[in-house]
Amino acid sequence: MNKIIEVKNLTKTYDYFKKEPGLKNSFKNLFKRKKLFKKAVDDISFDINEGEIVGFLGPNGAGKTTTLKMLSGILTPNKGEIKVLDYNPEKREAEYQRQFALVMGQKNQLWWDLPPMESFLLNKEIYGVSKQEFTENLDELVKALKIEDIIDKQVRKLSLGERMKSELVASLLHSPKVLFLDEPTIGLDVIAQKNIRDFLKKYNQKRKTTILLTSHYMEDIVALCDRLIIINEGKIIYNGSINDLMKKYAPNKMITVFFEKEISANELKKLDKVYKIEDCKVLFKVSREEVKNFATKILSSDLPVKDIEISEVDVDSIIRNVFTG
Amino acid sequence: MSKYLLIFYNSIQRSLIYRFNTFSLLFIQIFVFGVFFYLWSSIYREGGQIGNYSLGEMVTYYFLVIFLSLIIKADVAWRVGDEIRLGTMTTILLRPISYFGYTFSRLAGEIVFNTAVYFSSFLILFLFLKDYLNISLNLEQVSFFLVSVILGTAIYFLFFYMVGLSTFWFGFVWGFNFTMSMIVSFLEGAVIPLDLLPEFITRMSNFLPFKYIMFTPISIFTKRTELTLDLLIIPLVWVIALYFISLIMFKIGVKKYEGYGA
Amino acid sequence: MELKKTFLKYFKIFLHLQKIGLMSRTAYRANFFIIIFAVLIQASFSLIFIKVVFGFLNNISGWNYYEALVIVATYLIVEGLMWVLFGQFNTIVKQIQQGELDGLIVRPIDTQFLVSVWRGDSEDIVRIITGLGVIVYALNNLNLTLTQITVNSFFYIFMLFNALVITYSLAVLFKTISIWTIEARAFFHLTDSFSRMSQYPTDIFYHKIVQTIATVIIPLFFMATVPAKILTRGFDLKIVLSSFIIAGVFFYISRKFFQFALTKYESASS
Repeated sequence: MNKIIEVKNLTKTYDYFKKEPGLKNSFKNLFKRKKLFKKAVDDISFDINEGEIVGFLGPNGAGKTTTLKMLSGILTPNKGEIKVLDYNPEKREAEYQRQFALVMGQKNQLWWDLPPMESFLLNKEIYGVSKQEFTENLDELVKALKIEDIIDKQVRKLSLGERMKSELVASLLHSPKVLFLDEPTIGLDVIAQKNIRDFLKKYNQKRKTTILLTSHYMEDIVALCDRLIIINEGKIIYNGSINDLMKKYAPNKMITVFFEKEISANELKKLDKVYKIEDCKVLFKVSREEVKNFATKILSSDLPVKDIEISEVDVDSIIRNVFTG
Repeated sequence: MSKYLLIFYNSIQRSLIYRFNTFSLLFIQIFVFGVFFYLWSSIYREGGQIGNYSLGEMVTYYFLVIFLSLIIKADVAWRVGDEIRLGTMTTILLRPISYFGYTFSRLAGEIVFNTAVYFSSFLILFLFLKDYLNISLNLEQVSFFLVSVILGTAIYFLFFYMVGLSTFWFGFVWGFNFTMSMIVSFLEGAVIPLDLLPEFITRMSNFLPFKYIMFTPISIFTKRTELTLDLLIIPLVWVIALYFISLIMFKIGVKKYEGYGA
Repeated sequence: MELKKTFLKYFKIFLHLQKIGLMSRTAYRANFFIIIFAVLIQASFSLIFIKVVFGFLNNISGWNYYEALVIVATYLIVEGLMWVLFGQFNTIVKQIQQGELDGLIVRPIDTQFLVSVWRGDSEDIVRIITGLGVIVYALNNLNLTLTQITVNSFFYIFMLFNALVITYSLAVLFKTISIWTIEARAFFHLTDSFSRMSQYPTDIFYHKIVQTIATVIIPLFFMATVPAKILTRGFDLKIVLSSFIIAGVFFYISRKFFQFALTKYESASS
């Protein structure tokens, strides 16, 4: 397994000016401003192997996007080293740039008033993709994401999900070896999110493209990633497989059962693992391994179950656990 | 009342933050004035003359055109147009605040800020050139000038407020705003003094409100016109008329806007 | 060989972007025609100004009516090219404001090139056409032989090219500053105010200091007066050579500044 991405002691500091409200302070700011520093990324190190899908998880402002931007060469680190595909991203060499793609969930790289196809053709020119490779990739990607109908529709008339899929296609036409995704599923509906996740998984299996994605949706990470790096306040607080993380910090899942009528306390005591009761709704905290059995037990019992929900403990709880854990 | 004052103060604050904008404009316009200064000076020192304008009147004319442009021109049409187009007008409509009052207070803040900044610099420039240009001022003239400028600013604001409101019907404002700014700048005398243009244009401009934005105040300042009251009453009538038309436009337009569930 | 390949590639990208730009702008038909109309009006102001002023005299610092028209026409053509080819380099300001410069930086194409040709305002082609029309009209009315016109036109094209390079470099120099401030509005029309002042013969600056400033600091001289001079009065070695030198120097400085600014680019986001 060769290392595609190597990051050593990476640090990035931003400076900014303190701005207080009020007219008087605005005048004061004309003459004297206080410069403050924020360490967006604080001495982090990690490696990523070829073909891995690694997730960067963390709250807003944690340093995920900053790291991604340093890996793509947009920002220069204050300290530390980065090596991607044996290149130093800071140098912004064309040879390196032709081998990776960056897709940012909230930023639109397609031309607004034109159909995605035009942006695809433009990328073909910019990345110097041969006609053959372009046609092959285009067919494969469009089919896989099921957007045959919309590539000739103006981008501004597309839904957010269709736009995101088109952005993905545009970024993969030059067969990049590394794909950086920044919040790719943000703002999308559940179905679109799933489609994109499925696509990325299959694409990675077929092409062995190394994928690095940032997100604050746990579902993205769980569905896609082999490995997970959690960042908070610029520091890495976890770097390992998802399973290990789950076992260690999120050992439980939340089962919500909606009953037809209120269940007596006695009955519930028999079930054990009760977490919270809200009239006809009862929440159970059950360890991962026991979820299947527990749910089966509830559903096959003669309790008047109307509905049952099994949900992941949310990201923030897990992260909270990781901190306190 | 105090809410509009607050908007006014916030607008001034905002202008302070975007001071690069203000000062770079100042720098450029002084450069522009410099070029016009040399244009007219070199023409006159070679013995030429433009119409019945003296060198002082010509240079002062462009001096004031540039100065007034810096003060009067606020992006009314743009702002209003964008708020309609992007739907952000809704948040204002939902509040107990008049849209006109809100827009006016916001722009008044900018205009006051701009005046403070530009007035000082142009005053210094003016004092330097006063003798070279043969300008004499008296109190009556200056007061007339000030009132005339205020009325002209009001006309400019109201007219472009209405251009912005046209977005209710057109969907976007850019092209129309650009065209209108061009036409207005010509008819207000910012390109060439109105009394140097062919007669049919001068006559047409008498029926339009635009000449009161620049040409009239400048003529008052350079004493090219008698200080008669109609110079102030006619623009005042225009201000009132434009105000009421804008109210009607807003009323009709807003219904259309709300009809889209924006 | 490598150079030729790179040049062809960049040229292809440029053509592609022009094509897309035109498609994009004609997508809104009404807006497209309104802007053409507005551009025509704006161009006509410059011409009306000259016409009115020359109605009162027949000479400005040694330039007669038709020669002055050639200066204005040159300005119109250069401005037109700045809009059509480079969108006045406003892309840098817009992309920084919207935080979308990242998308252009990561592409394997020189960032300054990409930013320069990313969007053009195709409507301004009418500015160029107007300018050309005025030149034809003016040349018709000047006492030049056909040979003179042909020879002068040859050098005029080079002077025009230099004028464009200088105007472009000024735009790069000034608008790249937007990387350091958050304000965008000031930048959009920053340099076209300077260009607008090039439409008057720079001979009007009768003080030596101002002449020098207008020649080497904000080279209004080379932006319109020089091409017009060469076209209407014939070849002048000193002026032609200076034109190339100034254009080269400004382009070099602006490029270095742009590259420096890129290293300082901090896209703010989490």
